[in-house]
Amino acid sequence: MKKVLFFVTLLVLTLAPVASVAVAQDTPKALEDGKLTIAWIPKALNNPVFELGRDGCFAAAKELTEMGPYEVECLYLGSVASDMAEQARVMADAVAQGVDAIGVSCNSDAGCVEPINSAIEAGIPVMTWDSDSPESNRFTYLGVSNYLGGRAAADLLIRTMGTEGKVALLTGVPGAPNLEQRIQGFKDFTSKYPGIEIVTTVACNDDINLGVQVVEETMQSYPDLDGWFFVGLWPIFAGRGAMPLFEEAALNGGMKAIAFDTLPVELEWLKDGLLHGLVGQKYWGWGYDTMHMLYNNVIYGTPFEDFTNSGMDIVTINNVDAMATAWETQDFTQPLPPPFPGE
Amino acid sequence: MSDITAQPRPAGAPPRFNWRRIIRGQEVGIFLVLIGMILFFSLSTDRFLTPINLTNIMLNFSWTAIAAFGMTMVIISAGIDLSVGSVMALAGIATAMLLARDNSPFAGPDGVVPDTVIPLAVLAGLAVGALCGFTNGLLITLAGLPPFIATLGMLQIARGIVYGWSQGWPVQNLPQNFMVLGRQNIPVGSFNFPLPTVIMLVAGIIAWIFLTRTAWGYRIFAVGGNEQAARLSGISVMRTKLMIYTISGLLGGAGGVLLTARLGVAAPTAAQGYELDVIAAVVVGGTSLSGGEGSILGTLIGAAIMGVLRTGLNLIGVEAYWLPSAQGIIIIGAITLDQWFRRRQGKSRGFARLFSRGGK
Amino acid sequence: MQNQPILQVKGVSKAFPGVQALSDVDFEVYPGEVVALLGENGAGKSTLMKILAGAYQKDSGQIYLNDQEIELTSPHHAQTMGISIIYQEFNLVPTQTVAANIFTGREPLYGGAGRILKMVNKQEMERAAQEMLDIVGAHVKPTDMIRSLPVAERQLVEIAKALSFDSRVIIMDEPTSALGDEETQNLFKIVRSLKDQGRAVIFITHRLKEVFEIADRIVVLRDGRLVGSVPAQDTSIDGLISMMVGRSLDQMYQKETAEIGDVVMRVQGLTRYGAVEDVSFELRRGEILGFAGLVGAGRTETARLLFGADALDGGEIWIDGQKVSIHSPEDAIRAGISFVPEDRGSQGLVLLLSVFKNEVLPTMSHFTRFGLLDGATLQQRAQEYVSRLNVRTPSLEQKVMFLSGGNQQKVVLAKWLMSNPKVLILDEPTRGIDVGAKSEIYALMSQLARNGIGIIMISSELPEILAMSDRVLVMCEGRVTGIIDRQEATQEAIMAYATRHASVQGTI
Repeated sequence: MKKVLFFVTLLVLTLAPVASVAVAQDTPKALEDGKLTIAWIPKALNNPVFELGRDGCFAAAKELTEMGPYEVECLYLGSVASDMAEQARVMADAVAQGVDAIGVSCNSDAGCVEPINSAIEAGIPVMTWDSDSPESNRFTYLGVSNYLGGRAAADLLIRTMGTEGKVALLTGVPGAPNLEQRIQGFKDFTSKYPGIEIVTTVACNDDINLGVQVVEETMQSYPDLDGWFFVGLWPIFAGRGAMPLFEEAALNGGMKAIAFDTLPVELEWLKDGLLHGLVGQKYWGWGYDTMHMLYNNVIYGTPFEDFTNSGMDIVTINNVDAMATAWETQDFTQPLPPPFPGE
Repeated sequence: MSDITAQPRPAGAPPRFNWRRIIRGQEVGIFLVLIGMILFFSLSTDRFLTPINLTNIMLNFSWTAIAAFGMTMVIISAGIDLSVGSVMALAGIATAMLLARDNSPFAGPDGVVPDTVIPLAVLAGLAVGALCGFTNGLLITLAGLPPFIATLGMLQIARGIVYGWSQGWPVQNLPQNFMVLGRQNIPVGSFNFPLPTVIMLVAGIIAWIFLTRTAWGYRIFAVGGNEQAARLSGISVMRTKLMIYTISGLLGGAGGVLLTARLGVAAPTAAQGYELDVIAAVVVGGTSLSGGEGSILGTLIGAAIMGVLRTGLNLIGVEAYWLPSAQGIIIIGAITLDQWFRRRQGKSRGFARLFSRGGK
Repeated sequence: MQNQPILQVKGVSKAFPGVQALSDVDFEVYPGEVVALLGENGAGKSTLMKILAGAYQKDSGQIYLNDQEIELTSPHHAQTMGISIIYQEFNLVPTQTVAANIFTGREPLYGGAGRILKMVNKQEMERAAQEMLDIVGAHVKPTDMIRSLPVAERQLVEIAKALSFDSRVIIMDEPTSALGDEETQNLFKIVRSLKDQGRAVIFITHRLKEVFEIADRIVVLRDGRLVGSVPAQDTSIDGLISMMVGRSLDQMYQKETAEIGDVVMRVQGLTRYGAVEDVSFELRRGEILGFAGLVGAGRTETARLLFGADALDGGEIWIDGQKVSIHSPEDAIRAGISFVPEDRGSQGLVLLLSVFKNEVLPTMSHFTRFGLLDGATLQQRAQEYVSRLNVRTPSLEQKVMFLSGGNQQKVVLAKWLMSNPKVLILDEPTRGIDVGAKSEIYALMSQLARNGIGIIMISSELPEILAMSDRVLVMCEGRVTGIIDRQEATQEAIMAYATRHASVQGTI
């Protein structure tokens, strides 16, 4: 028996380059070395939220390895800064390295098509997460609809602020598709309420310092502002006291602020009454769920819908403690209590 | 012809303060641009000329200006320092990592970092900046690299160290007493001067004296104006350049530390692309990219113009999408106008005549 | 010669900040005429020519071309009107070919679609360039890179370029200053043939002898005004000099005997591979030691070694009997050596900076209080030397780029005299300087020698060497071939030493 296995292994190894396409499509797959290597490629390495995803990726790899029979590895690859050309190179490297599957967050939907398709031609299944490339042949996209996220943020703001008031938006780099979709969702939702006026949209180029500056300038321009939608969390990274006008209005002026993402620093702001609602993506799930989906696809050939909803975390003062606990324990598998009691 | 034979002013007469000379100074054109901008924004919105807004504007261009003082010296020496943004971030992160609650090597058992560490951490940030600059200087003088290449490399290296040290995460939870550096206001009468602005003005005055009243300053101009002639005048070009880039790194580091104190966080992506703002401030201020000419006062005005412009455009409600274009157009316009002033000054002193009745 | 001037200017004036460069100048040139334009540096020659070439705009006055009043708006405009200027420093792109330089901006294009796409017809361009090069007798190929050509050939390319515009008026700004004798003769041949073709040539020069060889008429400017316009056969060198400076030639070389003292500098076995070999000599206080030799004999290289500007491969230097080690100009200055390099603009001065700053650069660090420069004392000293050397500048704050060549040279001298040197090395101290400033510099040298400074004067002008030196050191191919006392120094003796090494080698 052992001899037979040896010869089969030898045969597989010899034929592997020729047969790799066929082998990859066979299910369940007999992995030649008993090892499954999955490349998990974020947009960039310089953004901390991707590190959460990486942690999820590692957690899933550990879990799946323990489950057996395969040794599963999460290969965390990426370019330092967001750059489609660099990312394409990273993907080509992963293919050359002979990984078994790829999960990628695309820096550009069009730019991702060619690298994804050539990986698939090499027999490597690919899915996208966080940021899609719909024109490519990836088998599924795990993400939230940014548009729905924007609508959820608008809903949160109206529930806390009421149906009338002046609102300002803070975005990162104008034209970034995910941010624009959030803004669109937000605007579509609020357009049903004639009492809500979006007075300005300011941008901070993903820079904390500039974010602080433009928020304060907007507070000067509109001292009677009723609400903020931070399409990302940039200025919140600055320590308390960096935005005195904003803090004063939020604490004592009845101004409400909703922000995207649910990082611990935002939870603290929420607890302190400086933010009033958060819409979060499941960063940890980006890694954790992607690994499980790729594993199932490679080993069992499990099919997936074109779009897999990763879901959103809606955090208010009512469930902020549960979210904080999840961060402390690094266990994001438990569902959050409802953001508004009785729903 | 009388000008050629005219006797220079009496020997030994100390330089007199002469307002007419100031007005003929090269900064006048760009100063008028600044005044014009302030007037325009003041008339456009009543939110502009408020004490709090002026305080904010001053605060916001303080670190740009501080880094730009160093850049002025670099550009006068006919060099360039592209690494200044990354060096700001690196100095900020270095300081923050020594001060962050729980994570600092100096944190007590309760995680709190004693206040006595603050000066040490600030010095460490400055030292890191100066070290980056010194390395730039070595690469340029010893290895003979063009400044563009050496500092472009340093831009990447410093940024990489920032990412590596921080592992991509912002460094937070800094002591309150450190943040005072970036947030304290110094009341002068009824007006609040932010502490970073005061530091910036002090740095500016020192830089100005250094550049115009010390042998080192003269050497910087000489090296930038004609390196060969400077060398044959007994100036050590190597020492001068090492000093210039070290100062640029040091001042970049100071800007980064203040930025960190102001925000209360050192982000790995902080100050990305700031080198262009800094260079723009210097160039708008009239320093020539080909070296040998420039002034600290001009750079201060240049930095102020950049700050006023950005805030002003935001206050009058220019949409975020159009803001970069508006900034670009106005900066190009300002420099064009300044060039025109200078040409007129050079030609017939006609511009000065506007200010001094009867002309010459 | 026809009676109708081809180009005429009337009452032209031009001012720069602090200087009236031209006042009310009349000037004309006829077809087939060679006019020499003379004057001290700063007399306005270059300004006048740049106005004619469209590079400067006149403040007032008129310009007539063939009796038509014209306004020249740019150098290109002037060129298309048939006026070309050939600058001393040339207007060629070193990294492009001869043909591309001749036809810059008007390259012959292919017809049809090629015209729309601006596709250059290279064959045609090179053929046309060859035609122009043949006319001027240049031995270069249209495909040669400019940077690979010697100065004389570059000049011919410039002339070919002027001809390609079919220029009727060709202005040459000191065309012979960088040429050897043979090359100069070749140039004159071309100038004469241009003249025979009915073109007008305006010739700016400092070499008075040449004027009589080539010019039909001589026009002299002084201080921006026209002093005179005379037929060449009606005047003499002496006459021209007195027109230019208002005094005569015998006052020019102001050599006074100084007391020769102890040895101030001793040099033994100075060597830099490939440039200077085993140079040894002594220099005494109050002595002017002339360095003579052909171009490339290693004189400037020796001076640079003495000053620490280049690294030594061997040799020793003593100052006042003390051995000194010199690795940089700083060391040399500390040892009491000063060096006035041959090229003021690129080595001697920072043109962008003021007279004051240039003057104090080497010495300022001795005048500081608490790290700050002692402005009052420095100003006083700078002013003292400006007055002593009679530097003509509106103020200490004037940028040196606005001074004339002679005054610039005086600023360089002032800067070094302020350092109180024991040894002063002058490399071509009077090159490109007008007669008046020259004589001032000679007088100054004599005075410095009297004050006990040892002077090394490198010069390619033998009359200058002969008139000023107490001894003459002659070099050839990096070696000292002879040291001659003033009494024995003749042009022939110097030339014999200067070529000796070469001829010895030639016989092997």
